[in-house]
Amino acid sequence: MRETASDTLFSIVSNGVIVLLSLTCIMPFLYVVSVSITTSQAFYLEGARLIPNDVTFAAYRSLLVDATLFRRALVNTLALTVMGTSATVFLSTMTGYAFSKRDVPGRKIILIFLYLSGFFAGGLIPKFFVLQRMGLINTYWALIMPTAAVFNYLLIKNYFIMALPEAIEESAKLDGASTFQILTRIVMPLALPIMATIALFSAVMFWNTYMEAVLFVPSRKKMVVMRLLQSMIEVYSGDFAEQLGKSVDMSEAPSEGFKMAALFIATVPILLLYPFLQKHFAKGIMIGAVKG
Amino acid sequence: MDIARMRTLNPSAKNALPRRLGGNRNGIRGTFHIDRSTRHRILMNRQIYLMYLPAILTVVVFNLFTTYGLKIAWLDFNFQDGLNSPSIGWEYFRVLFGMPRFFRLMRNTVEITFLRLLFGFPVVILLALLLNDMRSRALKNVSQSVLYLPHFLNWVIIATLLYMVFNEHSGVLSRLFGAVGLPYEDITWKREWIRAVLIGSGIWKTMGWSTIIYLAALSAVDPALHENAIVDGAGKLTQMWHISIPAIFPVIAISFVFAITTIFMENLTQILLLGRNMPNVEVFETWIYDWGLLRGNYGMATAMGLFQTMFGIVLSLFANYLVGKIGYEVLW
Repeated sequence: MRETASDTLFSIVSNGVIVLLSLTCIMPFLYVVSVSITTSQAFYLEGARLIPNDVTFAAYRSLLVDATLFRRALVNTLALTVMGTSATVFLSTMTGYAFSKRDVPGRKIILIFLYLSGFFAGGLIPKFFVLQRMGLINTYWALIMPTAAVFNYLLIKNYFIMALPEAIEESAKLDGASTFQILTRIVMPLALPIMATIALFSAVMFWNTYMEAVLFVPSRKKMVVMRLLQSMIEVYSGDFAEQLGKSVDMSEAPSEGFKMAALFIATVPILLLYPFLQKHFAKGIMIGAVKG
Repeated sequence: MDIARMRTLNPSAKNALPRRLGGNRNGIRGTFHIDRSTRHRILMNRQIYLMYLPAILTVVVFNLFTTYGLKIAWLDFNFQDGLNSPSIGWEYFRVLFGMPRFFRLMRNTVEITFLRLLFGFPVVILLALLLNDMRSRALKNVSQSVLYLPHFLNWVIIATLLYMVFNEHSGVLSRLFGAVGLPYEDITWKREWIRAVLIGSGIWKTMGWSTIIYLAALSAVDPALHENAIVDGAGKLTQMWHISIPAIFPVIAISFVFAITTIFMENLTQILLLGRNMPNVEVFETWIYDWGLLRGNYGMATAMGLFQTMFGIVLSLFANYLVGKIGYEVLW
C-alpha cells in the first residue's frame, strides 16, 4: 500500500524516539562495563569512556576471589532467590489452580476474603512484630513467607481457567489419581508459561530484595547482595578492604571500577534469566491478564 | 438401584417444598443443614480445600494479624508488654494532626503521586502506541527487550547509574558538556530538581515494562480495522486516535485505579536512596521509616501508617468511582 508523506515522516520520528529511549536504557550499562574494566591510571586521566584505552580485570578478580563478604552475599542471595522462587512458584501455582476449580462450595467466599484482606495490612511496623513473634527475624523466611502462597494468584487462576482443558484432568481422575497428583504430574507440566512468568517475577523480586532485608534480616552473616552493594557505594574514598575482606587488592582498578564491577556482577544473573523465560512469559502474561 | 442411591443422585426431589413456602434447599422447614449433594461436593474437593490453606494462613497472619497490630497506634508501646502495653487513647493522632509538618507531608505525597501519574501514564501509553506501530519486527523486538531492562534493576543500582551519568567529576554528561564547551551542573542531588529526578527515574524504570499489558490489548485489534481506515484515507495519527486508543481504554482505566491503590507503597526505597533528607520530597512513607524504624517511636509511626492506609483506600475508591463514572467497572 502507498504511504503518504506524513505517515513516512511519522514513522521516522516514532522510530527515532524509540531508538533514543532504548539508548537511554542500554548506554548506562555499557558505561558500567567499561568503567569496571578500566585501569586506575586510564580512569583518572580520561574518566568514563565507552571503550576504555587500558583494560584490567583486577576489580572482578578481587571481588570474586578475595572479597569474602561479597562472595558470601552472592551465595546468600542466590540461595534466597532459589529457595524463594521455588516456594513461590509451587505454592502460588497451587493456590491459583485450586481457585480455578469452579465446583467447590465456598470457593467464591474464600476468594473474596483473600482479595479484600489484601487491602488490609498494618504496614512495616506491625509486620516486624508479627515476624518477630514467629521467630522469623534474621531468617530468609521473613522475606519468603509473606508472599509465597499468594503471589499473583489471580493471574494464575485466570490462566488455568482460560488455558487448561478440563478433559485432561477428567481422564486422570478416572484413572484414580488424587487432586494433588493431578496438580503435580499433569497440570504443572502443562502450565509452563504461567509458571515461567511467576518464576521470572518472583526471582526478580528476591534477587533485588533490599529494604525488606535491611529491616527484617539485619544480620551481617545473612547479607544480601543489594545491601552490600549499597554499603559499598556509600564508601566514597574507596576504602573497601574493611567492607569486603582483608586481602582485597585495591591498587590496580579505581574505586569506581570496583563499584561498577560489583554492580555488574550483581545485575547479570537476573538479566541472564530473562531470555530463558521470555518465550513462555509473553504467553503466560497475555492469557492470565485477559480477565482481570 | 436402591432408594438410598437414588437419593444421593437427586437428594431434594422427594420431599422438597417450593421455596416460596419456606422450604430450604433440603426441603425441611426451619432447620439448617448442608444438603447431601453439597456435602458430597465438599468431600470430593477436600484436597482442593487443603490447597487453599497456605494462602488463607498467609493472609490471616500477614494481613489480619498485622492489622490487629495497628493497636499500637493507641498504646504507649513498650517491648515487655507488647500489645498489652497501657493505652494512650488518641494522643498520637492529636499530635500528628497538630503538627505543621503533617500538612506538608500530605501535600508532598499528593503532589508527587499526582505528578507521577500525570507524566508517567501518557509516556507509557505513547510508548506502547509507537512500539505497536513499528514496521520492522527485528528493531521492535530488540528495542522492547532493551526497554524492559531497567525494570530488572533495583533502586540501589539505578541510584548508582544516575550518579555515574550525572556527577560533575567523572560523569558521562559532564564530559559531554565539557567536550562541546558548555558549563555543566549536576542536578541529581539538588533540592530544586529532586522531584524531577524521582519522577523521571521512576518513568525510566517502568516505562518499557508497563507497555506489556497495553501491547497485549493492541495485538487483539482486528487488522482489518486499520486496513479499512487506510482505504478511507486515514493517516497514522487518525488511526491511533480512533482505533488504538479506544482499544486500550479499558486497560488504561484498570491500570489507573491500580496505580493509585499502590502508588504510596513504592516510593520509600527510591526516595531514601535518591532524596534523603530533602524536605520537599518527605512523604508519609519516609516519615514513618524515620520515626518508627530509626527512632523507635512505634506508636506515632503506626498511627501515621494507619492514616496513610486509610488515605490510600479513600483515594483508590475515589479513582474507582471516577473510572466508574465513565462506564468502567474495575474493583467491583
